[in-house]
Amino acid sequence: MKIRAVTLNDVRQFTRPVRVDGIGDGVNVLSAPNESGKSTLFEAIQYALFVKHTTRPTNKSFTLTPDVGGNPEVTLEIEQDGARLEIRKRWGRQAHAEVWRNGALVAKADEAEARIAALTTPPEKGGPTGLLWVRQGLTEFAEKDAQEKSSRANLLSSVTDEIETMTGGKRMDRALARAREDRDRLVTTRGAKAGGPLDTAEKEVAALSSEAEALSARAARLREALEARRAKRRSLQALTEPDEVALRKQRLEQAQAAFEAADRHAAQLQMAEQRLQNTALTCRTLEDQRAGREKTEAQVAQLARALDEAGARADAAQAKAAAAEATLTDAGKAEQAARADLQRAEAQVQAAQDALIRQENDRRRAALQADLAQAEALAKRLPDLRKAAETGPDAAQLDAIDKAARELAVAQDLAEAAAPRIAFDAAPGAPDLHLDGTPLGPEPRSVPRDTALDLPGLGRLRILPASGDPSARVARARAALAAALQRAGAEAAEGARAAARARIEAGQSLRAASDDLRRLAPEGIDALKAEIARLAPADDAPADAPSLPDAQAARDTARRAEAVSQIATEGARTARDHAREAAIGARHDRDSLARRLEEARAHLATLPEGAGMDDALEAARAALSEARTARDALRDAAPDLDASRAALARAQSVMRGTEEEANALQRELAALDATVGTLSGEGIEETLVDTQARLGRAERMRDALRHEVDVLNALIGALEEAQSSARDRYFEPVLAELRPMLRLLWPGAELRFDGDSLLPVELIRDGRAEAIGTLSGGTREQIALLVRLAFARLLARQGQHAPVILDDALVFTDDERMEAMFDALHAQAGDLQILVLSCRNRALRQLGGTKLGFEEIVPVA
Amino acid sequence: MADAFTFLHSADLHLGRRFGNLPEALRGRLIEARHQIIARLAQAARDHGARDILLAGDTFDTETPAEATLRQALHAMADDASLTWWLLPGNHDSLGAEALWEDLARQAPGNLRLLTREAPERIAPGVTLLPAPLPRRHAGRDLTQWMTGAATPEGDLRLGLAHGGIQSFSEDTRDEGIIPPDRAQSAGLAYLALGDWHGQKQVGPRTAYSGTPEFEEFRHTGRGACLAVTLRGEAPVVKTVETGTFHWAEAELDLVPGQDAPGVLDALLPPPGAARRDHLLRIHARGRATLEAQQALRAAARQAEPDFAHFRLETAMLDTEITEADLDQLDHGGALRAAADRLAAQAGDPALAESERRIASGALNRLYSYLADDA
Repeated sequence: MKIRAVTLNDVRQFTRPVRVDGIGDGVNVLSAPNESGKSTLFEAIQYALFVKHTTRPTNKSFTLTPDVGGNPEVTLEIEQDGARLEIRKRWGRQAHAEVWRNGALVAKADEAEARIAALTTPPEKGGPTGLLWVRQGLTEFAEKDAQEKSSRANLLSSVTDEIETMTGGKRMDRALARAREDRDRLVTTRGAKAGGPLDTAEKEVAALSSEAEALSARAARLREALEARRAKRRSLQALTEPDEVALRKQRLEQAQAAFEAADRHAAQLQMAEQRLQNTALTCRTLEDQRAGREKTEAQVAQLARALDEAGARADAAQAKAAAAEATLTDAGKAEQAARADLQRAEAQVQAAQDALIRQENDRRRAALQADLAQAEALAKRLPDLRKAAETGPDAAQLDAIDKAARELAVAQDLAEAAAPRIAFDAAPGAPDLHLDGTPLGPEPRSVPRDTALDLPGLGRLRILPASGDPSARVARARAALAAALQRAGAEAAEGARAAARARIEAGQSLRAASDDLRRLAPEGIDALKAEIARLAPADDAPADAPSLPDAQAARDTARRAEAVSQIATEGARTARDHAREAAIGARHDRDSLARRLEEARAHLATLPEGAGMDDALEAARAALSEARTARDALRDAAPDLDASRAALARAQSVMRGTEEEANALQRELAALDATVGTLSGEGIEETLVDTQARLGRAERMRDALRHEVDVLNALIGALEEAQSSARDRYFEPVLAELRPMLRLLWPGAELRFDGDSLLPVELIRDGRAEAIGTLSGGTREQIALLVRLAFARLLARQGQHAPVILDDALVFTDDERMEAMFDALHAQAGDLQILVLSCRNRALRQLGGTKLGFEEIVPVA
Repeated sequence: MADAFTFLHSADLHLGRRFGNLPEALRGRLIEARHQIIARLAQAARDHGARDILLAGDTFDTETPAEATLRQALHAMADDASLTWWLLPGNHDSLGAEALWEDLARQAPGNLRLLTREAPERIAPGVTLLPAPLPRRHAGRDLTQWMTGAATPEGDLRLGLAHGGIQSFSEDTRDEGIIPPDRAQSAGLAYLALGDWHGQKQVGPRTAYSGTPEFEEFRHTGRGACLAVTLRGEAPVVKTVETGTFHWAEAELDLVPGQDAPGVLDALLPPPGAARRDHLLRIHARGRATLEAQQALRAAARQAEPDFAHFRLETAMLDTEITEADLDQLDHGGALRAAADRLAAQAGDPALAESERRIASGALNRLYSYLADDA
């Protein structure tokens, strides 16, 4: 198919009919500014071929209607198989479709649409497009939408019958799609598809395995419990077996009987032993009794002798005690006498001491009386001294006077120093001059005040002090001094000072008198007088008294005598006590012996006579021999009591142990019964068998699904490999067409296609592969264009001419590369029809080819 | 014994089995049918004038059946008090299952007699039963031996009741408990009623396996049954009484290339109709078949499947006969044909493992199926 002319009416901006005519073979160029209708032309061609006339212009996707409204109409004139065809379509009101062949209407409406479709199966139907176009927006190879993808895929998989056969075409696609779909229902790249049949089967296997395992464990527990219960029951049965029970009972009874016999024999032996001991005791008693009588008789004799001796000792001791009592009485009397002497001596000492005290008091009283006299004299002086101490200027007043005096002196000195001085060196013969009555000579004299000097014959010379007369200060000082003296009650400074000194001295005297008074009568004169009165001698004072040393010596002597008498008394008392005790002891000994003698005599009276005792002893010894013989016989015949006791204990232990064991077994059996009852009631084994069967079924299902996956993978692998291999063979001619054009732009370049998407994915330049997506916009659009040219070329070689329409397809391409592209276009143009639509007038000026333009059709009148 | 004595001989009821290996939807029906078998046996007894039903072991599937299984079974047995059920422990419900037998002893209705001891049991005037209960799952000895020396009243018919294998009939691989085939003769038995073998088997004139009254697996074909035995004269009269609800069948479908595979399959199936609903069928396709024949066979199986309680066609062992025509039908050339050729080569490559060949064959079949659907 080759396009020869296109006529538009009421199509977008073309509200008046326009026509593009003269479209030839090879390169055709429609160069016009933007908005001039190039893209409209391109889309009008598409509408004419692919959009049925019955499509309503109100359809959102319908874009040909002018803004002002109208019924778009397109006439496409093409050349097909040597015939000239006209496709006329109108949409909207009076919509129609017509196909004219060599000037004759050959089909209308749906028939026309069918014929048009036969020319170019639209992309959505999976047929070849009949057109290959490149728009600026389509230079990208990414699949922008399903239609674009479908268009490419179908274009590539149905270029020729040969390619169709080679690649399997749509049958291959569908088979592969079904296999993948079936497989994808089962697995993903990561394994079983979640929620899919295989995943479900695997999960069911896992769940059932787990369930079966748990049930097996419970079943095993049940079996163990059953087995344990059987064993326990056997054990219990063995324990409660009647023969066994009877045997244990018999053994216990035998042991009991043996023990009782041995115990009885032991009791008999013990009795024989006791009898033997009793008999032996009787013998010993009788022997002891006979020996005791002899001993008692000797004892009575001895005690009688001792009693006599003790009586004598008691009498002697009593006499001695009486003598000691008399001695003690004498000593007591001596002691009382000595004590009286001592009392008297001590009274003498007291009298001597009292005399000495009285003497001291007298001396003291005399001294105090002297002090009293001085004190009273001082007390009389104190008022005068106090008055003198308060008379005359005090220290402050005296200080003020001194200050005023010093000021006066200073003022006077200053006045003196400031006063003019005058001297007179008399000339020979000159009269004497007198100042203030005193002759004036060569010695300078001061003139402190206004002074007049009579100059005889000359008059009076007045000497006046300069202004600021110091005499004023002198006068103030003097006045101040006078005032100070007046306040001090003095007339002159010296007098004031004398008076001040007298005051000071009076003060000192006053303090001295006061001190003396306090020393003499610290508590006051009245207290002093009272003390003197207290020391007055008593009226009853003895007239005389012994000397104290004599009295003290006499007292010491009496004191020693009293001590000696006390010691003597004490010694006598001790001796009396000892004697008294000795007498008592002797009496006690005598009484004790008497008592013992009486007892021994009484005991002796109780003892049997000698002949009867010998007979009794003989009889006892015979009984002893007989008892010993009997005991020995029993002892020799005695069974082993310990052994029989042990045997009995063991038999009892066996009985007890058996009973406890039976009880324990019954308890354990009760627990096992409960376990078995619980577990067996649940039908665990039934459930286990069922679960195992379900597990087997689930495993078979899982294995079958895995096999299914293997089968599908094998099928997909075989199909993909075959398709890939076919594509390789298919791409070879495409690449053969493409390669020379590519190398016009990039010497040695290759383009690599993706087997699945059938899109170019890599450009290999200078041995380096570059992903299409990383290339510049210009390079991508150039590749897009060249690829379509190659396909068009391939189609053309198969006799299917497909016009290539380039709608502003090279907007990113620079001028230099544009030249190369032009070369490619021309090189491939040959029997191809290439329609270039562009706004780049200047660039396309060098392209050459047939120039096209929109021509308005003037209606024929 | 003057008159004839008739009794019902059955075994291997396996009450409590749940059929986990079969589809969920079917299990309920099978379990219910298993429970109903007690009523069916009772009816069979009544139909044949028998008052005694001898169950030769494995009445219960496990030693610890669920309470419901046990109770419902006992209720069903108690339903007709004129009948007496004689229960012998088998290997699945041996005396080792103490809990089971204690429960049975505690809950058994009056017409249920438990044969738990090797002791003669007079079950009817002039008829003494010699049971051989299994003390445990695997007895390890011939339990019928004691019958030889067992004393019975003079003139009584001696019936033996045992559970276990005779020679190769045992379903268990263990041989310790083999029952001598001539036990009836050696023990003077009028009849030896056996259980364990789920199919019916007449071992000798006076010895038989009754089989299970309701099959539960594909090992035996047909419906379960019991035996109505009448002792009169020298030889017992043994009559098979069908009791099973479900018909089980497992068949092999041997194919050769060129056969009408759907036709051969159809020949194996019971006639169309409502009865198919109670059929369980498992068919193992073997031999070789072309891609087309396999396609047709599967389609026929899919068509038939909904009629049956259970229908399964196994083709794992069916080899694919790959013909040029089949491959041409896929495509004469191009990628599809190349893929098919490759799979065909793999399917027939003896150097590959069997599993790999089967995968390749499956893939080729699948491709054929896809393209056939696509056509």
